[in-house]
Amino acid sequence: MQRQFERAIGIILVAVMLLGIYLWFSSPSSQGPSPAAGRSEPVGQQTSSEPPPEPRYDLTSLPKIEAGARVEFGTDKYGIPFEFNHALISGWSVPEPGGIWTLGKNAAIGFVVRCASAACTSDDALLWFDGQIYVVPGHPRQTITAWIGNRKVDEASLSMPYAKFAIKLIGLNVKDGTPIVLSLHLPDAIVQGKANPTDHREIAFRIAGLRLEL
Amino acid sequence: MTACDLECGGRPLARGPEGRRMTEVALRERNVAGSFAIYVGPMRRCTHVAVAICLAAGYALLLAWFNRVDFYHHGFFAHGRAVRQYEFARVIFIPYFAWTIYSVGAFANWISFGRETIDELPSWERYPLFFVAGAGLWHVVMFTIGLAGFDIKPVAVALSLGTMSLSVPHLAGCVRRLGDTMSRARIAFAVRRWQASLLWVAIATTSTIFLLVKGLYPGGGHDYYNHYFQFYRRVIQTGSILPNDVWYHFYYSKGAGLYFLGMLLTDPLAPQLVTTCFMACGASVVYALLRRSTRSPSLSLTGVVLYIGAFIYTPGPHENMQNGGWGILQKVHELTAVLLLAVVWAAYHLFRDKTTALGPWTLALHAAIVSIALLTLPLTLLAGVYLTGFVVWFAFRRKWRVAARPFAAGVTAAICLFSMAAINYHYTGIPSDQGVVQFWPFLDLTKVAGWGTMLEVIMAHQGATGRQPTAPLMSWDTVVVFASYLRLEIWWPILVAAAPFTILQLRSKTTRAGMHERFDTLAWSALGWFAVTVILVALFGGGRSQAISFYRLSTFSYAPTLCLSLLLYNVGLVRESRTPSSMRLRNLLLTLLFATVLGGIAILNLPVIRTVRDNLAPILSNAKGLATGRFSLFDAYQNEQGWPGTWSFGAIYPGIIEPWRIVGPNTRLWSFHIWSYCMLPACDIQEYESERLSPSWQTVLFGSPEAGIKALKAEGLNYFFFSAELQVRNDPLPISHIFSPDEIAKHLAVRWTDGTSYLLTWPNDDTQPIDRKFLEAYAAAMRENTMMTGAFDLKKISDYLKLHQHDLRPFDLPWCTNCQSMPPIDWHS
Repeated sequence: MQRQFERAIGIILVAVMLLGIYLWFSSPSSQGPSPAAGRSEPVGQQTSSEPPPEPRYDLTSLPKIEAGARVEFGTDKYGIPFEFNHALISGWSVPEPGGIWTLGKNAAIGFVVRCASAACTSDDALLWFDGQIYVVPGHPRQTITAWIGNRKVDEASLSMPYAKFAIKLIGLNVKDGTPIVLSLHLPDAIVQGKANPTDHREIAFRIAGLRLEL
Repeated sequence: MTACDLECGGRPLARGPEGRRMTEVALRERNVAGSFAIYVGPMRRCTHVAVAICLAAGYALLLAWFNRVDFYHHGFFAHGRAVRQYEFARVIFIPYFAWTIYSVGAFANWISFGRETIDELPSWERYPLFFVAGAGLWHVVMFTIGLAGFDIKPVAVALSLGTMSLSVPHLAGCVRRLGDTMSRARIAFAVRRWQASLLWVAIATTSTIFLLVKGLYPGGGHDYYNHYFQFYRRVIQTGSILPNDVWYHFYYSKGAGLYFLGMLLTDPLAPQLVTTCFMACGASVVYALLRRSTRSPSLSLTGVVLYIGAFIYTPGPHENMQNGGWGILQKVHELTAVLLLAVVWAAYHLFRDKTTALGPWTLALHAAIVSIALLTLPLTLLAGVYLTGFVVWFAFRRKWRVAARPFAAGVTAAICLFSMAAINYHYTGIPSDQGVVQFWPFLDLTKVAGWGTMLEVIMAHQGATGRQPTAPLMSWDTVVVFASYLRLEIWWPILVAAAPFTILQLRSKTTRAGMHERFDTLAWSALGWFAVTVILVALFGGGRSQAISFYRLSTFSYAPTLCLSLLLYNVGLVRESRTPSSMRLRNLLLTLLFATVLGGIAILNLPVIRTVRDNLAPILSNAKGLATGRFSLFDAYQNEQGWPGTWSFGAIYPGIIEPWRIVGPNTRLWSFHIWSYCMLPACDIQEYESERLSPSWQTVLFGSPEAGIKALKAEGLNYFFFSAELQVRNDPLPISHIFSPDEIAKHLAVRWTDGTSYLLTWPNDDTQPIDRKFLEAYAAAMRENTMMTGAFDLKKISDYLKLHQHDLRPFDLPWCTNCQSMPPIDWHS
């Protein structure tokens, strides 16, 4: 009986192992926490100390954004794009509910300041961004450097997936009618890789909202 | 007495031609179809002594290597061969360390009970039993040394090497026995042994994976990074386990003497190596318990496979998964779990009418209880309740002689409990921080004030007062949570799959009698009563109000419930006298039934299985990365893919790296956040409320800025870390003028920033003034800081404490529910 019993145990163990092997190699699932690290792309020749390429834009096409008001990007729940999406000049992906991802290592955003009060002027205005940062294990940080023309104005290093950060517009006198065109350099942008194998976009930051604070 | 006389309880073999003849005869008798033997010959006389001396010398060399290379501090960012060497050295250290624990237990037993008593025990019981006894003795010695302030490297090396040297004769005996066994070894292939071989392969595989994933790969989770590890480090820094600034861990971790010993001998990554030794002991206990109660080596080996295998990935139920899971080898919970398993195991052997080797079992039981009291004081209560049940049962049956055994163990538990509470009270004025509300009327606040933790104790009192049960007692949620305390969320498939076997055996009188024959009442009662005790303690302890912590702590149910599940499986298979062909058919049917049930469970739980699989893949890949040197220790800490409740940056927040470089090793760095982990070498990051803010907290928070700054500088607190992207939960510093959002720019300056994280210090030539961007982010973070809203109460409490500082007694805290008879604070003054 003992031998029979041991044999039964052995058969069961083999069955369990075979089942385990089957489950292990069966089709990948989209459920559960996303385990894979993004594929790290070479940073390229450009570094954060070198200015990103100047964006091409038509000043007249830039939207006017009210100082102090938060504007949204992406689409609403019906899929209708928000009106300020066209402030995103270049280096941005398609609008999605929740925001718009940067595409590649450079992106530009531009708008014209609208300020009701004649007294509203500032030399140290803050531009508040909010949205999502693409950070995964193995790629835990996204650095964003902000440039106006050839001048680096500020930077942010972000590690939390949901971010709200400010960019200082140093040396820029901001008042009603001032055009602001900001080039963002995103050296840590990556393709998602195994985490989302069907998406080949090189992403870093998904902008959901923007607010200018004078 | 020669070294050869002190062998591991085995009988010497006949040597020379006679020995060879005997071995050949024995092999011929045991030979079966398909097997062949290779005769090697017995080990030459006293070769074993030389081997033992070489092994002991190897240990000395290993310790010397750790001391000379100090890889943790000097190679933290290194890759490649250096990492492989380091990991190899750590692997080698594990059996050596286990041996030093075991040999102390063996020596104590040999002295106390003599060799004959020891020889009554089979080796598979003797090794874990002596390990448990040795662990108890080591813990007591290390605790005494720690209190005396001698947790220092020379003492640790002397103790460990001394033990190793003294154990050489015993080691020589074990080597000889091993050599003789090997000399009789045969390379055999027998059809009937393939199951056992398969199980051994499974044990080897799971053990290797376990070692790579849990034993060697650094980790530990949120609590470990914030306070457990910081306390361990502080003990190693100061050489003392006396109360320090990682304040409440004095109540939790001061008894972890073997961790400190391991850290002193190797480096700060030692705790997981020490726990790996204990896990090996736990696996041996599972084997021994199952083998004794089922008499089935296969089922016992299956138990070992499951014990090790299911511990590789331990996320727990969803709620616990979000909080980091359980089964963390860097914490003392796992040591206590093995020791509680040893208590159950010893109870199974001791609490019966007829028992052998009474002395060794009693010593192990008492040693385990003492260790539990030193490691996790509240669990002494669990052990006490467990033992009380046996006392009551045997007293009820008027078996006074047997009842005396659990009674004596219960007395040991009670003595340990009161001794530890007295030690806590003597050093801190509080018997246990867990009972701060209940003990408040009796606290010695002068001692608390002297320790400098009055602020933290008062806030802990407030937190504990508001603690409520998470679910009503009579609810399905409570049932599920309590089932998880027994780890049924892991083992229920075995129980469910075994149920049809058992039900099948109820069909006739004969099968029922057979089942009864296999039913080991003593094992069932030892394990079953333990499960009931766990539920009782969960009900009346913290099981309802601190569900997450209690779940993590209840890792002690893991092995007993596994054993209980396999015992159920065992009684389902009844010995019957039938023809071989009918037995084959029956076994096939039973196996099919079991496989069908297990398959059904697996299919119903496919999402869970897939999640486990998806998470295990990166865990295994990372473990391999470290073992092969592709990862440095830094990479390993930052890559925690697959583990529950972790951030993408793992244990090292990217924004903290540069501040760590700037402030230098072992320099206080106060963080406003609990997620700015800094598991870098010698990083002395501190945050509220894991670490004491300041003994001069009243001056800092409510005094003038000049006085507050002077106090902080005097305590060596000159650096402060803030990140605009991390939440500030309950830091009291911003209550002060110095750190208030309105005034911080006047008193502090930015030493470094990356645009998101800031290192602040007092203004000097290397700093920049605080700008508007920082101030806005800081003010926004402080609006979420819960401590800001309670500032008024705290000021009044501070004033009361100042007024009564020369005669400080417990007083009526505003939220207190048991302070009615105490002097109140005049809130309107």
